[in-house]
Amino acid sequence: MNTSSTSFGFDFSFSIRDKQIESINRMLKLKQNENDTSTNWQEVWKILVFDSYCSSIIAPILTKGALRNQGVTLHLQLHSDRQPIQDVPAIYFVLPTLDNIKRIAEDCKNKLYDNIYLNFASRLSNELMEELVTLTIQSDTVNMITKLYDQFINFISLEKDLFVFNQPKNSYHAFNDPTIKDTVAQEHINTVVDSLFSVLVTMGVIPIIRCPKNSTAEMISLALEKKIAQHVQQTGSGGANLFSSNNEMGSQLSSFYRPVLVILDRNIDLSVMLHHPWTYQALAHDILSMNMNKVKVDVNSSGQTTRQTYDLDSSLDTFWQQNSGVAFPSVAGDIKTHINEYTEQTNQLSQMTSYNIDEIDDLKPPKEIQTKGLGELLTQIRAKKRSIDLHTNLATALMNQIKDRQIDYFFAMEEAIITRSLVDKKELASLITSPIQGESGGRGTLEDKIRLLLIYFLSSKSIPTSEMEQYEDSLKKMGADLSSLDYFKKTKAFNDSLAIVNSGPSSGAGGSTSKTTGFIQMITAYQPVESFTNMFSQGVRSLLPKSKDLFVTRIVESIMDLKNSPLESDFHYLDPKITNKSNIPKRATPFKEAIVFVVGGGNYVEYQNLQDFSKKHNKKIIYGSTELLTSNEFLQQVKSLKEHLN
Amino acid sequence: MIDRTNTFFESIRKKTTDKQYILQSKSKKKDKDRVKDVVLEISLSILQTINSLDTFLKSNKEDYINVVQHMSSKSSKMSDQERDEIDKLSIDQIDICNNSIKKLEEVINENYIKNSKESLEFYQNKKKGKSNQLLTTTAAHNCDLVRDDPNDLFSLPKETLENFTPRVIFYLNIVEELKFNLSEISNKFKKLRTFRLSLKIKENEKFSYIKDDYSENSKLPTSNYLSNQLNIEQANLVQDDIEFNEEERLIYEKQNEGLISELESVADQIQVINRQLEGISQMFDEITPHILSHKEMIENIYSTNVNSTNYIARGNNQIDIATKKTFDFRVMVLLFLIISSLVLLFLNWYQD
Repeated sequence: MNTSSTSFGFDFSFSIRDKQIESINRMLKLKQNENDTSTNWQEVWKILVFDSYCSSIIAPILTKGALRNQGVTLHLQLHSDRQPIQDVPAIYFVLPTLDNIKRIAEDCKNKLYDNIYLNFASRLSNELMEELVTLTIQSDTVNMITKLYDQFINFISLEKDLFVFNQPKNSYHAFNDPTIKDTVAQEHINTVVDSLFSVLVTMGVIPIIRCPKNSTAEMISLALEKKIAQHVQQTGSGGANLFSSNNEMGSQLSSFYRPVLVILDRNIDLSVMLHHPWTYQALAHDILSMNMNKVKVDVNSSGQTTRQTYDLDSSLDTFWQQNSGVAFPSVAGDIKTHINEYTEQTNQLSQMTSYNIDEIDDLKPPKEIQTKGLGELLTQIRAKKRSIDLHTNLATALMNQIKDRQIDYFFAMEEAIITRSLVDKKELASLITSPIQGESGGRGTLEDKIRLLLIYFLSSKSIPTSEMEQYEDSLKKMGADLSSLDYFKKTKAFNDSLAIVNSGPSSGAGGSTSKTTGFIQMITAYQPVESFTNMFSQGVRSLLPKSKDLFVTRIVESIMDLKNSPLESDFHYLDPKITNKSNIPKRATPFKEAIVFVVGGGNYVEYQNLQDFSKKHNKKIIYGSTELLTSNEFLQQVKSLKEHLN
Repeated sequence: MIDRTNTFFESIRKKTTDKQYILQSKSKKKDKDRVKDVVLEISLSILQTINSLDTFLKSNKEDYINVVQHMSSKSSKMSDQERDEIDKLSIDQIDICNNSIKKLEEVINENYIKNSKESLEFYQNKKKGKSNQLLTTTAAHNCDLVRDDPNDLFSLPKETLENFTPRVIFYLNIVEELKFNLSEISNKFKKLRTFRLSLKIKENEKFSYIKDDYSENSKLPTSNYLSNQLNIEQANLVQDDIEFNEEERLIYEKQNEGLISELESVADQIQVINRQLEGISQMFDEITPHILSHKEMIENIYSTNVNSTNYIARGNNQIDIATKKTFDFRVMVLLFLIISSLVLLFLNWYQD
């Protein structure tokens, strides 16, 4: 489904996935001139050669059928032993690295293919180009290279409004390790800046950049702003501007529709990475380790348990598209509705023919049936059956885990802690100190308990030492490794001390009355009326529904609506189009579109929360991160970070 | 994307001084000089045939389905005979393409598949010394890199991919793509044909209703001419045929009159609608800039409202704080006055 606003004859689709598919399809077309209608046999059938990173770019967005429709009838790994197929052009889609350049030169030397069209996912540096030139001259195979493009699509789109980079690996560790070398840190920053630049080029927008000060996000934002500004200035005098090439209206569109790019550091909200999710997609990611839209599920059929891999593509699976952000209990009801529809259609089919849908062998599609005219109905029924099988198995696997680990209790408790409406501490103590699942009275795994304790620690202003010690002791007795808790304790203490240093004497209008207010407070220290009203208002607040927006969502809301709230008081305002940095005119109208990028890891909980907010307020938000982490993966990175510090 | 081909060739030119080499590096081989693969040539010709059929169907689509309105249509009038010819041509073309694809499959089977397994084993034996990672000679190892579309009926199954070399898989995928293209075109053609035939059936039904109506009314002749005809018909057996033909002619004439009047009125209405549409589009062109400026104004108003709401909220907060402070100040002053009056009273009493 496209998120597009079509008005006045042009289509501005704010979907990262659709834009990336357009770019890749453009790359796969070899015709230089769109008006050239002659069919050259060289340009019809092609081979696609990609490296492992670029295969992960293509895998979530294009199927084999889609590649075949573009004429790509064979796709191969770059670093694999390949046979020569000499009459056919080959499209190479790789990252610009030295290993890849060497391998391409070797392919040219071995004359594997007829013509080679090189497409680099990001900018090929001059040094690497020189290396390629040298190697091809040495082997006298320069004429094999027909074209060389920089594509600027080195990011992975998982949904129409979700992207990741998957580099650098272990990004939270990489960006928070104080022992890291400067050169390595700069490399990481350059990698992220390159990928973000590619995202913006693909979207065809030059955004306003907002980022918090004194963080990795600031360094990335400044580097990105500089890169965009340099490019715009270099191509300002009639040259090809990357940001306008993707739009029909050209640069006019990129200046009219300017979204805001909010770059945040993971440390801004750590509890969301540990939160037990409750929506369908987030549960599949957290519990079943869904990766790149693929999930492995244990399926019981006729007494045997097999491991099935399913692809979850919202562009092909309407059920997944509608229910990925829905709370898990409603999904079961929707599956039931789906099954009822399927039963009706199969009855309809059996009335029309004597064909039994259950006897179809999936490996051999019944093409003959299509010619009888019932093809469409049959295709629909088969698709529905596949969808039902997938989601029934998936939901069953999730349900079993939820029941065994009592994840619903953990979720409810964490919600209460995060929204500061925790009343029943006994339940909290029970969840943490009770035995692990499998034992009598067991509730949750060790990781679940550690996560709950970490969220409690991070979200509470102060916890009695005795209470913390009690929880830590009980977890240690169960064999838990609490190094991640030690790490968070240190960082929290450090942040608190920074906050005290930064909060100086109050200034401005409040300063002159500070003494009087202090005096009044001394006199009125005990006012039963006031404390009673406070308690009453707190009590009312606890009855009223709490805002379910996460911290990142509240920041994004404040930025998009130009509320100038304290949440964004310490944020930069960067505009790459403005050369005079001392006087940047700020935007007066609220933003309708935003790209939110979190450095150091993100997850589906945060993504879903942003999407819920965007739907409620009729906004469009694209969420991205260096990588999508499950809570366990995040804790592993924190543990390794703690070990590094030790 | 940025095309850096010229930069690449310039770097080559800088590095080399041999002009012949530069010419060779810049020139492209002509298609005629390239070694042509038979399978690729055949596949291209099949694809061209399919594309030409698609173009042919698209160019004649409007006339082909205009079964009812062909009399008033300004475009070329197509008779039913011509339509039938198009049907026949299309079916023949589809059959030719089908047969060509089958022949292509046979060619691939004979020349490549039978030898493919042997060459695969030979190739694997040749590389036996290397580590397992390098023995990925078949595309089967690549088949998990890109996922299948479960609704794609033309995707090769994994078992096929595991048994053949990349070249064979390349050819087989070409065949599947040709089948896919052909099935799309033939489905399109079937839909057009079905649509046209259904329109024809509706027309025939209409005709049969009118004929039934007329045959009922024919018992009471409405005109003298008709009654005279009927009298003549009764006298002569040969005139039975004429009577039937005249009856038919009358039906046709009546139908024609109805059609002509309907078409004339429809044509007039269409002209009126065309003029009105032109007028509407002109109005839209005039209105659009106003709407754009309104949009700007509304956005400004909205932002002003948002800002004013924020200011009002802040103002209210300030007023609350001020009220509280005023209250505190008054309490302080009152206390001071009371205490000072008490002190005065005390002093007064003390003095006394």
